[in-house]
Amino acid sequence: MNAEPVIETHDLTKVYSGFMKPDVLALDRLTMQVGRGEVFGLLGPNGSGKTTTTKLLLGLIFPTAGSATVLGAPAGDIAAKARIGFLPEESYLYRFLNAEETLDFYGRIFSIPREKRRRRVGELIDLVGLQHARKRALRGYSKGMSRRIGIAQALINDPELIFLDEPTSGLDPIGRQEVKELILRLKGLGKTVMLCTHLLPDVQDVCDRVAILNNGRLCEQGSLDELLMLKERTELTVDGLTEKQQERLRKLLTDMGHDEVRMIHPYDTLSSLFMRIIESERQRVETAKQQPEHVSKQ
Amino acid sequence: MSQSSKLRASNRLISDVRLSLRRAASHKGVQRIAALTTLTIREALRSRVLLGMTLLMCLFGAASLFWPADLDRERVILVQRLCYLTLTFFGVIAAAFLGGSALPREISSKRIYSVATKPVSRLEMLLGKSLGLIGVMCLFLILGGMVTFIVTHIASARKTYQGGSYTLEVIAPSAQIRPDDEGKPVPVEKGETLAADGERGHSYDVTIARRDTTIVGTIPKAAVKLHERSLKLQRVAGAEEVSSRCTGRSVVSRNELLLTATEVARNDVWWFDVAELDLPRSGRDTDVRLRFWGLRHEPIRGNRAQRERPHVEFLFQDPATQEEVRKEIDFSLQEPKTPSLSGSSRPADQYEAVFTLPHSLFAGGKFTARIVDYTPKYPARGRIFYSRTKSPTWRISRFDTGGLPRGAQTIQIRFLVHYTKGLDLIDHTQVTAEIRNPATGKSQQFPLHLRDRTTSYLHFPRHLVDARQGVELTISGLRRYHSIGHYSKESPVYLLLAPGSFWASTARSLFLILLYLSLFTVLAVAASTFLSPPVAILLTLTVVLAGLVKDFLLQTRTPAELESPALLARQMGTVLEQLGVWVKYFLIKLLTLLGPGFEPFSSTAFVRRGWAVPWSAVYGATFYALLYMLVCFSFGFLLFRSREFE
Repeated sequence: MNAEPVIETHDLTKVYSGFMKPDVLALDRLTMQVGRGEVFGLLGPNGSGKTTTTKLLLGLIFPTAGSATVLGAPAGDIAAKARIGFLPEESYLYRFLNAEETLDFYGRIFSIPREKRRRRVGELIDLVGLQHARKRALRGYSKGMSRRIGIAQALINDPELIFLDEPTSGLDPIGRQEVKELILRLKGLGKTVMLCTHLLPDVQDVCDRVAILNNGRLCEQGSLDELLMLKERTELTVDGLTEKQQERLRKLLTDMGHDEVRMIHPYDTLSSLFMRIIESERQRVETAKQQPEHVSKQ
Repeated sequence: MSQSSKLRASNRLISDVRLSLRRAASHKGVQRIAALTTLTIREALRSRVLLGMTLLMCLFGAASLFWPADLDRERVILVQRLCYLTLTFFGVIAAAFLGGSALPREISSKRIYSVATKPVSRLEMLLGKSLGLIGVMCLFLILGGMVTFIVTHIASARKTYQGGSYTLEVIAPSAQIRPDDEGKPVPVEKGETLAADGERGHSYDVTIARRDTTIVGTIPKAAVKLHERSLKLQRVAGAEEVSSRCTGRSVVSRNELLLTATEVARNDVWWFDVAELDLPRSGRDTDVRLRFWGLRHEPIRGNRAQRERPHVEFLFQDPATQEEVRKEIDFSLQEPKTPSLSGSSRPADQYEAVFTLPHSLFAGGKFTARIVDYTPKYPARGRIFYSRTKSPTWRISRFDTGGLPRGAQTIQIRFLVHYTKGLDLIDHTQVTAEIRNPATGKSQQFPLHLRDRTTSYLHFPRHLVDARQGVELTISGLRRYHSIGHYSKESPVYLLLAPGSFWASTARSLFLILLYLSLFTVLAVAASTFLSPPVAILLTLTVVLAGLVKDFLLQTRTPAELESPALLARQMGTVLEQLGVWVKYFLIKLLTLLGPGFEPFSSTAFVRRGWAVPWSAVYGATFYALLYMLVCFSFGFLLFRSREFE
């Protein structure tokens, strides 16, 4: 990581202790850095310490040992929080408010001027695709809609650093794709995104670097390229080869000393297939809509 | 923890608190607090507990209309008191439930994540939550105020005495009644003989006026001589009784000094104006009757004769000549079951002593009386002296108005009258009070209704009162059996629910209740920073209950138990009984010392007497409320700032 660190932890440790309860080591001497402009993935199974790390960095809980800085200030610093956006694991919002009121409330918390707040609320509602439900109370939202409004509230202050805890949970494939595109767009705007998830395909699609936690300990950390590249293996993809060409190629490689050669027809991902179908259906509907206009003009 | 680390921790705490305060006080901080406050109000207004308490408050407030009351004025006051009580009771439950659960609910639903991760300090969160809930209490009280308004309005409209003209039938031996053909009140002179006109009474027109919350009735066409006869006034055009009956014998006693009510201490000094006492100028000594009411503070043992009588040693002094006369006065029991004068349900004993006052003592026009000793078994709790006059006119030549509250439109003076008639009490009597300002020469007469052992009030119009000079006050129309006096020791003047001041007083009462509810809201919020909601609510309600118990103890405790347990224990005889007295004494003392005191937030003391809630009570309550809230809030903040949101 060459960029200026936005998040830095040093031997960050958290032990949960309670009255008449055994102590639980949730995070064990975590040392890591997240650079500016990165999309950083925090991976691990349930109970690995991802959420604990996020809570420590946001000042919701306090470390037992070690230290953490976020945007150059100690974790939990109030001034630094003005430049942070956070999407919790579930959208814990006020269900009696509607989308506009929710975003307006968080805008007021950030002391955004009224006019700018109003504009920003409109933009974000458009961004997350909740125009049709902007006046509906959140108690009437589906899980996916709640997730979208949660994402919008995390972006209300145009943050430099965004914590996204399981951002795609509860979303349909289109929503997941949109969130991934949003993350990439945020990255393009120079924002730093910290992504906590155990949905590995999502991480692979958007993250630059990842850290893998297990039982509160950091197991692996680095860029995706570094971590995923299998240097001892090479994959070759070409346009469809005939049987004869495949035989010749296999023979050539065997002669070069490569004993393990596999030739397969690759499969498309279900996600891509789904997206293709939905997109073609959308185009068909739009075409059908345009058809009567065309006829009437004639 | 080492010394240096403790120091570091405390320094960090101080700097954190200072930083939080600075942030909260900034413009953006105020904006954030306002946002949280608004959100809290919106959320709390959806609370079912609040809805339930509001409905119950309205229901019970309306039900207070059906509470029985003898007099119209009492009904209005009673309705008001019940409304305030209802407001306080249901309000404090709502405050405990909302305050005790607001923060924990936020934490348990994890909505705190979306707020605590924003640039909001813990102080701002706590402030926003507390202010929001106080705002909800404000709304609750506004609604309660409206209910109080409606209910009071209905109660005052349901007066027995409606304005207008009525026909009265005077049922009495006709020899006592003299109709007046001109339609004006005719004072009856002593010894005047009335024309006999058969046994049946006569009918007269009566005008009854309504004044705000009080009813003033006059009987302008009936003049009555009361002497060994009875009189009954009834409203014919309606079923209810307008006035009350007067029966019994007239017992005239002269020169009574009446001592009653609460808090007599040794070395208390009272001034007597000889002119008020109507002492003879003939240079002769005169007999003076001193009356004393005391609450019975000792266990009733034996018969009346066995019970100890109060023994009071007075030191009378003429300030002009410095002549002193020491009198040891033994009182005799007069009325063992006289109702208490202090409003307590316990009976009061009435004692009386007659002694001779040497003329030399009062030749100077005034004298003082000082209690130098009294029998402590009857701790004489009194501060009111009443002078009695034999003439039908009682003149207070210089009524000091220096201590009158400023800015008041109408000021009222408290009178107390006592009738020395026989067994039956005379209820209402009307006299005339004339207020004259010697500086301007302006004067005005007012009808004054007197009722035995009940405070009567006289309006002092502002334009007549000159705070620098005082006024002349003349009460005329007194009967021979009247003893009339006014507060002479402490503040003699009280601001009452005079016309125009009713709603101001109501607003002040509601403000006192708001302070009370706000205090418990903050206490509940502070408790919820470290306790689970049920425990925080329980703690808050326990404090409320402790305050009520303390109030109850203060109202019902017997002075003997609290002030002279040793003496009382000595009187009790057996060791076991003595031990019981001591245990009870220390228990009550401890409870009253440790119990939280919320007396400053109660307007009952004023409303019960029909007084306006004074500004001083509002200032006092505000001071205490701010102090208590600051303590609770600081405690809550110190715990909340280190709380983790897991």
